[in-house]
Amino acid sequence: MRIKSRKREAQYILYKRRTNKFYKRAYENNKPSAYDDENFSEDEFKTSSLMHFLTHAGYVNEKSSNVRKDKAYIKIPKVFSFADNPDNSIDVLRDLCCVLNNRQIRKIEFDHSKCEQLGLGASSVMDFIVVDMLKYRERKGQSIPAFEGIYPETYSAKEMLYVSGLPSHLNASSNFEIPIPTDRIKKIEYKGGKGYAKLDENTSISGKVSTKVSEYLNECLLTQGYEMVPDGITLVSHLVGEVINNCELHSGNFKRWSIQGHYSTFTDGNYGECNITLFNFGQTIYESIINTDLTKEIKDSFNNITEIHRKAGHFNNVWNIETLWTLYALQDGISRLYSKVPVPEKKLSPDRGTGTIKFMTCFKSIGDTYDGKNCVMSIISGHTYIRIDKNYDLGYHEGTDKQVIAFNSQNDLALPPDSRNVKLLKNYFPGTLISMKFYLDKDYITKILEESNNEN
Amino acid sequence: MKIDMSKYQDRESKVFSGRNNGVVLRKQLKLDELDNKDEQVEISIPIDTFSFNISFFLGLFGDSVRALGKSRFKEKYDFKCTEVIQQNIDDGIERALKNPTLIF
Repeated sequence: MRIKSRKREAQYILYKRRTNKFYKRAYENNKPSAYDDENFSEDEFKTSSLMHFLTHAGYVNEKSSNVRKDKAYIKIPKVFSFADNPDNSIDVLRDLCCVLNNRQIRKIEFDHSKCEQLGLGASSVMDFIVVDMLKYRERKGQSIPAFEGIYPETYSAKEMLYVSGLPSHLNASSNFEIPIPTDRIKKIEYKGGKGYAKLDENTSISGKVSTKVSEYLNECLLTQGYEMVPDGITLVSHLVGEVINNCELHSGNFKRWSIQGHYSTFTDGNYGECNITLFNFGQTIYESIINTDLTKEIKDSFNNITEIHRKAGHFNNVWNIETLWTLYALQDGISRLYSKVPVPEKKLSPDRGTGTIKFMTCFKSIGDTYDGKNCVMSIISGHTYIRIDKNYDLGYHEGTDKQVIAFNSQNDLALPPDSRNVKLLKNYFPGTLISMKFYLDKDYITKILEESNNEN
Repeated sequence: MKIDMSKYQDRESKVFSGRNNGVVLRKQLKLDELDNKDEQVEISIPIDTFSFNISFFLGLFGDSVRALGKSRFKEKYDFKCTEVIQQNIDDGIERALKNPTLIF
């Protein structure tokens, strides 16, 4: 009896796996094809190859443990999200890079079967790396491995993967039992930087992308019966533009960024859940500071705040100079390009530092739900993790007109932050990633507007 | 003299963004020379513009604001735009003239 039921269970699992998969066939690529731009020279391509960059960043120096013969298995954890499980999620990316760098591997399986929470940021970065590798191999005339994957069991993770994840980016075929109502989902995606345009120093598509993101968010809001007023559109497009410009300006020679959004109204309540991720590979925030020939004023400022923390004995295994400088650099008015006197040829100016955190906190005011779900945002750069949630908010630094967020009860940058919100990671992300999850709930927005009108 | 900003906008963009873009346009329009001339300049910004970002404004006009001061800048450069964009410009002027202080 026991043997029969075990066999039946194994058959059931096999059946589920066969009907819950996506796949893309391998092929031999005999002819190098043009990359995105026919005028892209070989040298430019090599220096813009993500795998070269990641190798240099130390991401490809180990052997993956999940390889059997010529097949590799990428196991996606239960929580694959930079906001909620950063270190383990980065472990997956490192494993993936090792696998992609190994040309002996002919097949790669992405096993999402245990994944219950699929973060758009983690998924997006993973896909970016895979697609870049594919393009590189096509360019070089190398063979392309086969891809297959197992979908998650939970609906929300399955929807994210199917609509905005690897099957979509690979144009892979899928077969699974439950159809996804794509008419209730809105998505957006743009990429920029080397390899996506013939980039010269003066080219920026931030204006176009800001426009599209603003229009996208307005479409999402319309599903709740609201739309942005002109002030709101200005604010959002302004802030998106500033964040993208920061990616382009501070990421160093290797500029590669991506913005992706996934909005779904097929959630438990009547509201919509919006996930937006924006990341760039390149210098981290901390690296961009230490690699810049800082002016005396800004160097003194970073040193002053460092000495305050050092003398007070605040530094420990989750709070060090890197996390401090990263947090400080995100504040209003702080920039590695700050100079009291403008120096145009070095892009130095006293009016630098527009505050990435300001962008993110503007969604906090409307991004919760009536039944108590809260928006969460995070920034990962190098070894630094910063989480913005309901517990801490922007406030004016004492005696100044500068808005800061210090993530402690006194909102004082001279004191260490709450380690749940700012901490040093064991792992390293080779760039900067911003991920946001917020909600658009008609009932909650109505309540906020009514309260605001009553106050006025 | 008239400057029509719609000529310097990407086809699919309704946002003027990026300090570097502003700096490049400043050189193209030779605003350093224009600042020193007496003539008034009318700048028309398309009516459907979402945002005239501070960073772009500072790249394009930051030096002009600091050279001329707020009143002379406003007398010389007359912006034809919506109320919301005018607010962006006013914010840009304030930012350009702000006494730069660091938190620490």
